Amino acid sequence: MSGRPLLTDYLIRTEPYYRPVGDEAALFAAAYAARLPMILKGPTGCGKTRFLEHMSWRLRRPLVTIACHEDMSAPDLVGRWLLDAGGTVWHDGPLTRAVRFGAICYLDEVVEARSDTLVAIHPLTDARRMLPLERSGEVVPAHPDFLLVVSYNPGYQALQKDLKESTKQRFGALAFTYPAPDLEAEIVAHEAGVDASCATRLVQVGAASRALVAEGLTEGASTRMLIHAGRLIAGGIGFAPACALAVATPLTDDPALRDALAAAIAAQVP
Amino acid sequence: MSRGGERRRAALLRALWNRTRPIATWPLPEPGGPPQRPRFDDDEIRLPHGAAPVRAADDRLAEASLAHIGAHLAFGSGRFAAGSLRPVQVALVSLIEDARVEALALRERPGLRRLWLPFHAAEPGARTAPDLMARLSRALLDPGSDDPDAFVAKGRALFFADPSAWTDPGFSRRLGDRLGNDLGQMRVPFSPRSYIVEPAYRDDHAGLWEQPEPEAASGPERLPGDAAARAAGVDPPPGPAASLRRYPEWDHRIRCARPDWASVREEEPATGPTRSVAPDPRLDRTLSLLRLSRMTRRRRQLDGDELDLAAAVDAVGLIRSGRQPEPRLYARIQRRPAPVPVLLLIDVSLSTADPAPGGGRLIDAALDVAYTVIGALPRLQVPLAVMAFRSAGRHDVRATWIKRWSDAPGIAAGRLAALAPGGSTRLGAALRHAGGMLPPGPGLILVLTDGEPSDIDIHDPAYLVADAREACRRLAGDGVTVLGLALAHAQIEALARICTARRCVSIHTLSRLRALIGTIGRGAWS
Repeated sequence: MSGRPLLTDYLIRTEPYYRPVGDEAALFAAAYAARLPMILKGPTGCGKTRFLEHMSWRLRRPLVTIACHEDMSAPDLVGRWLLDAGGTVWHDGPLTRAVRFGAICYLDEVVEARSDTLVAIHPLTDARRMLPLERSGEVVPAHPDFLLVVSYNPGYQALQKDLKESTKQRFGALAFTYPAPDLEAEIVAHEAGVDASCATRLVQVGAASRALVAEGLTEGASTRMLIHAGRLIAGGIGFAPACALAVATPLTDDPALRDALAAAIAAQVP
Repeated sequence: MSRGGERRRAALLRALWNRTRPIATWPLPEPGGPPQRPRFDDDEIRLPHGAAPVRAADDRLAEASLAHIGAHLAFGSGRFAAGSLRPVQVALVSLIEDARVEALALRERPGLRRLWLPFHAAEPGARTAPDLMARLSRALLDPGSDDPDAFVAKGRALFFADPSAWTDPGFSRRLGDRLGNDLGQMRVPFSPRSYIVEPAYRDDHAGLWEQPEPEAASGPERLPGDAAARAAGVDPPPGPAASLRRYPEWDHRIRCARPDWASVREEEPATGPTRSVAPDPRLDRTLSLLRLSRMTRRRRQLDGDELDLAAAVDAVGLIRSGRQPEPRLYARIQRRPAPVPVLLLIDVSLSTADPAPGGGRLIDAALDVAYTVIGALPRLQVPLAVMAFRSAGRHDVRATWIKRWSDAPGIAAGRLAALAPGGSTRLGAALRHAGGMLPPGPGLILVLTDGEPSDIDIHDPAYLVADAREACRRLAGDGVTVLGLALAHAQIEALARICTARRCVSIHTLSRLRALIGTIGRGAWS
């Protein structure tokens, strides 16, 4: 099986925009140097994935992303036997490929995966740094460049979804949150192509939605949502309809909360 | 009254200013009576704008009031001391303070001007003190104002001379003092008793001034309803903090539901000393068996975790003999569907103080069951909430959360220990309330009761039974099953009339309870 060429598609060639909020880039680089597996925690759309794309560009490592879901089984990660005319043939899963050839493997929204699936990553995340392929009998030692990174959203509480303690304790972690207002405005302005004052107003709408969590909203607007609204505005849509389309309407079906959000949006329209 | 409307008002204050206060709804003033203005203090906000309408577009006055009061909460800094100020100066300091917090609010939320401005109706013309004040208020908010009056123009010029001073609350005091003096020298009469703040969305200024000197407070007398309510010894109307829900009740004689008939109020749980329940090793075994049996292997699937060996051998045989193999080559390990959420509803009426068949009181037996269920179901990953209920007539059904969905099981022990028997059993209302607390989709309510529903205002024994049966039927339509749990075998019959014989279990022994938990864990109760 050919090696590097398989993963060159996963190399990020142009710098993804990322605005650091603290020393997270230096910390992550140090964790990578120590090959310490990492958890990126934080609410939806606050920049976890973008941060990792940026770091994988900076470290010049391919990034293999796996979106976790509850039907994902261990073979979806490590690989499975397939049948061809000559008999059975082993096919590496994305995790095995990353382990073999030295990529950063990113399990996005890791709590969505079943805990019995996640046990497969345990031997990779301790001193052994290897992946035993139970079904093929092979033991794949991790490439020196390999790193495992997982993300999850602690606020998103689908009843009792959490990482197992035995999984958690193998990782270092960086906690992300929504950036401070002026920083978030800078990000929205850059990503959406709107002026600073419009970005500031969008960030105020974001703050209003996050305050509404105390009144029963499941989660406040993400930076990503604000960027979506900003792009619509840059494309010529009015502030209020853009915010309604990209923020208020997707966030909630509760009429009381939607009306409150609409008032907060209207308050930002001069 | 619209509950949604009240929630919208609370959410609005939160969305605009990230503030929260109980918002009391006061009726509109009588026709011909003096107009009333909102009021706020450290404890609550009162809106005399009548019940909250369903549509946001019909509630602009309350919206404007909340936006204005929120600006006071965000940009005000404590109360003013009236000292030796004359009433006209107090009124003008308050007016400038209103304009100051609004001006600061508009810096961050410029759209609020569109909300507030339509309520400013003062036009150039009349020159009484209240008219001049209303005109000044408008001129300070409306950038297009061209009021020719010298007093208004002077106030406007002084206000806008140095916007950087707006962040200093002393600004209102200084400017208000000066303008109050001017108005006094103009010999325009001012009567503090008849003065009403304009426009209608603004508060009555009682929240701006220190209270121990009542004559200094510029505001009018207290709201008329206030004194009346206190004299009558009536509790003030509950704010959103005290949640009250109304439910229909089925009257079997007229074969009709009476709408909004029973009121259920949620009470804060008390906590008492916790006690430990002896561990049951056999229950532990049941639980670990149940956890193991969550997986099933399905063979000959199109897609799956591993090759199904038998299918693969068959397929290779077919391929070698030149025929088309069956594509179903995989075995898939599948989990049972996610467990449905369970709500345990405990009857704590006075009759549960009766002796239980096994010794002790019925309520103690019920609490033992609750301890066991709380200990067991979360270990099976079954979402669990626990609620206790009692009643004293249809207006006073009380529900107490022992464990909300998100509470850790440990929190329940102290709350269970604090439960004491009292009141009656209005089961139908409690069931409807519990049903509303379940997440949408299939669910299970376990009712732990000593049998017959009863209440102080009901003399027909069949009435509440029929109502509870109807509540079960309705819940079944929403995919919610009600299982009746009887603490004594003799109670089964009464329960069966409510939730049908198939849906009643007697749990008078530990083995029965274990079996019940096993059934719930397997999802086999339906």
